[in-house]
This record gives sequence, structure tokens and C-alpha cells, in this order.
Amino acid sequence: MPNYIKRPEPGRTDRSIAERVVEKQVDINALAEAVAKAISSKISINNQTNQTAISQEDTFDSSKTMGRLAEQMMVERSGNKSNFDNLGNVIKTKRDQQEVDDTIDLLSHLD
Amino acid sequence: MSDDILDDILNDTVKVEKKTKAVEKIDHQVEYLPGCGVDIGTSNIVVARRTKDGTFVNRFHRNMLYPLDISEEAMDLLEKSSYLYVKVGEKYFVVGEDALTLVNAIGKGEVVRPMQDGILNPSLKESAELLFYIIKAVIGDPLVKGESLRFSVPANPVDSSINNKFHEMILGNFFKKMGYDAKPVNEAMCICYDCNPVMKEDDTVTPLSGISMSCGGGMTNIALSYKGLALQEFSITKSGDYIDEQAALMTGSKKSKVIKIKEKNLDLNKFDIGDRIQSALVVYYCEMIDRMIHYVSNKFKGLDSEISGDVEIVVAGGTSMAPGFCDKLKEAVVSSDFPFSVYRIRHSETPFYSVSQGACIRAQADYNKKSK
Repeated sequence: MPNYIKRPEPGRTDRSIAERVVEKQVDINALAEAVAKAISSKISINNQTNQTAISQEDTFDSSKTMGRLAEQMMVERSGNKSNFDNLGNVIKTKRDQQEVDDTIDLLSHLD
Repeated sequence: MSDDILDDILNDTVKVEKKTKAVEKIDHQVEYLPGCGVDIGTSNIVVARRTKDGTFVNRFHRNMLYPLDISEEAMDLLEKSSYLYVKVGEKYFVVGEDALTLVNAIGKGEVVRPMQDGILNPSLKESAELLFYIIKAVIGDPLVKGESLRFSVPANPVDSSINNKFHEMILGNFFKKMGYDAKPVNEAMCICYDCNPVMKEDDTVTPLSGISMSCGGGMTNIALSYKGLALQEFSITKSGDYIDEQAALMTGSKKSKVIKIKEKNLDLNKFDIGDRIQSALVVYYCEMIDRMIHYVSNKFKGLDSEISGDVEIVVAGGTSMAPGFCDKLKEAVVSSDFPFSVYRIRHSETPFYSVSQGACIRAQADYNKKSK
């Protein structure tokens, strides 16, 4: 393959990507965050051992993190108020009582 | 679901009690059995309790809000009207059907929902606080200390990376804070508990065994069960909303017009072939049904050794309410490489309330088990 030095196209200056990013005032953090978010579900961890790539699943249990986040979202601000205690319309339906009781009985024995 | 159709549904039910301002409280004089079922959907919240005479009492609330910035005009409007509202942070939110009335009257802005695609709406920062307020007002206090409650959750979809775990945790925390002993229950399994599909083999009939399908707006949930135990559960994201969006896109029509035609005029067995919207809707309904059968065949293959009899398929949910839906489903099953022998496809008698009623049945079973 011949040595090839990329030259700027006619009419364009030879500037680095970094220079152009600064000039355009690109928000690098936002960009990095967006890229990380987009690829996070597709990343697998590769261990290079004797030139063999071993793909591993992320086995860390993140349910505690989600639990903490869910707790934090339970915040009720003191200024919150409403003009109702109850909401909704009532609709009654009738079922075969014996069949429903049998179903409940069967489900009561499940773990 | 449009308002017209919803009103038709409400009027068709056994009994409708409607109050605009002083909303009816849970009547504690009626003897309810402990155990509460909750269906929290993108469009509606339905809570089911059961009386001693076997009647299901479903409390239904439309899950929508109209935001108003705090101002003298807004406060004046709310004080003089009978609109139900909640103030959260720096905004007032008119709730339920009043939200729709107000947005039509004002003619600007739009109704927002605390839920989106079956989970908390990430684009509404007050969504968790608002939903908690609404849930408290629709469900009410536990009938007994630590009353059992089951809330429906979708299974993780096979065609999207959505994970419902976080949503499930938030809802679980809501109910626990209210004093309930709350557990999630799969949405399709709720259909199973309410409709009781049975499997037939020789002279033996096995209850709560078969395939249950819950066809909602955002998702279709499907479960295979045996004697009330879920053998396999999954969901598909392309459901009712997908049909509306695609039909609107392909015909260059407004989505609201497509929804109106879908809910008022559409019959999947006999439609006006000259009507482009109806034709498109039928095509996309058929695609949705074919997709359901495709995934059922793929997911349930290999499980046929556990299910040796003829199975029943039970179907519920708003998207299943188009006339001819079950007929199209039968055609798709017959022409597919379906892994089981199906002897019947049955539509729920109360497709709109099957999820909440099924969750209630499961909660009452929990309560009975605890009480033993």
C-alpha cells in the first residue's frame, strides 16, 4: 500500500477534530453521555487471554440501586395539595361465584 | 380509547354510578372480602374489590392531567369550577375527565399522562408524585391492616430493551407506604385468573391451564400457564397504539381520526374496502395478530412436552374489543405452525376489567393463605 498523506480538500483548512469541536462549541459531556447511554446495553466485557476474546455477562445485581432510586422518588413535597379524597367511577360486574371461589382456593395453595 | 367508546362501555356495564365532584367513597357498609386488585395502565387505572355475594366492584379512573401554571387566573378558575385538581410543585394539574373537558374548552395546551408506554412517564418530572396522589385517591385505605394487594405489571418485551423492574419497584413502594401488603402480578396471568382457561385431555379438565393474552394499547402480554402457575411469560410492544400510528402514517390521516374510525366503525370481518383507513387498520390488526402468533410459536416451542392436552386461549384488553378480533386470531392460529392443539379461543366477558379482577382474585388468594 503506498504511503498516503491526507491533505485538506481545496478551500478547507487542515484543522484537527479537537479544534473544530472547540470552534463549534460542542457540549462534550452531553455528547459523551448520549453515546454512553446509546451503547450501554450493547457493551459486553472482553477479557483478552492468549489472544482469545471471552465475552462475559455483567453479573452485578443492580436491583439495590434501583430500589434506592425508587425510594428517593417517593418524596412528597410539603406544599402539595388537592381538592379531592376519592377518584373514579364505579362499575360492577357479576361472575360465577363458585368458579371464582374455586380459583382462589387453587391459588391459595401456590407458592 | 376514545371518550365516546369509553362512555359506551361504561353504559353497557351492569351498573354505573357517576359523580362529578363528590366522588363516591368505597362503601364500607358493603361487605368486601379483603384483597385488592389494581391495573395501572397508561390510559386508565382500575381497582377491583369483590363483595361477599361475588360481585366485582371496579373503580375506574382515566389517567390524564391538564397542567396549569400557578397564576391568579388559574386559581380563580379552579375555585369557581368543580374541577378536581392537585397542586404539585409549581403547577396545578386538573385530573381525570376534567382534564379533557378543560383542554377542549381552553383550546390550547394538551393533556399529559403520568404514564407512558406502560411505565412512569420520564418526560414529566412530577410523574411519580402525581401518580401517587391519584393512586391514593382511587384505591383508598386498606380494609384491614396489611391487606393483600396485587398490582399488574407487564413482562419484559421480546422486541424492545425496556426493563420494567424500576417501574415495579416504584409502584410497590407506593402501596407499601399506603399500608398494603403489595406484590406484583403478571398482566397476562391476571387474564388467566379472571377467565380460567382449561386444558382438556381425554376426560380430564385442568383449570387455569392454557394461553392468556392481554391486548393493551402499548403492549400485548402473553402467558402460558398450567394449574395457575406461569410456565412462560412475555410481552410484545407493537400493539393497539402501533396499529393507530401506522394506519395514520400510511393513509396520511390524523391519528385521532384513525382512532375514532377504529373504535366506532371497524369490524375486522366486514369492512369497507373502499375506505383507506379501515383497510389500513385491518392490515395492521392482521400484522399484530400474526406477530403475536409468531412469538407464541417461537417462545412456546419445546414446552409442548409439558402441555399434552388441547389448550384454550383466552383474550382480553381494549385492543381485543374490535369485532372479529378472535376470528382473525383463529385464522392465524390455524394457518401457523402453532406448538399446541387449540380447541377454543374465548373472549373475556369483561375485557376491560379482566386485569383488575384477575389481580383481585390473586390478592384474595394471598389473603386466604396468610389467614390460615
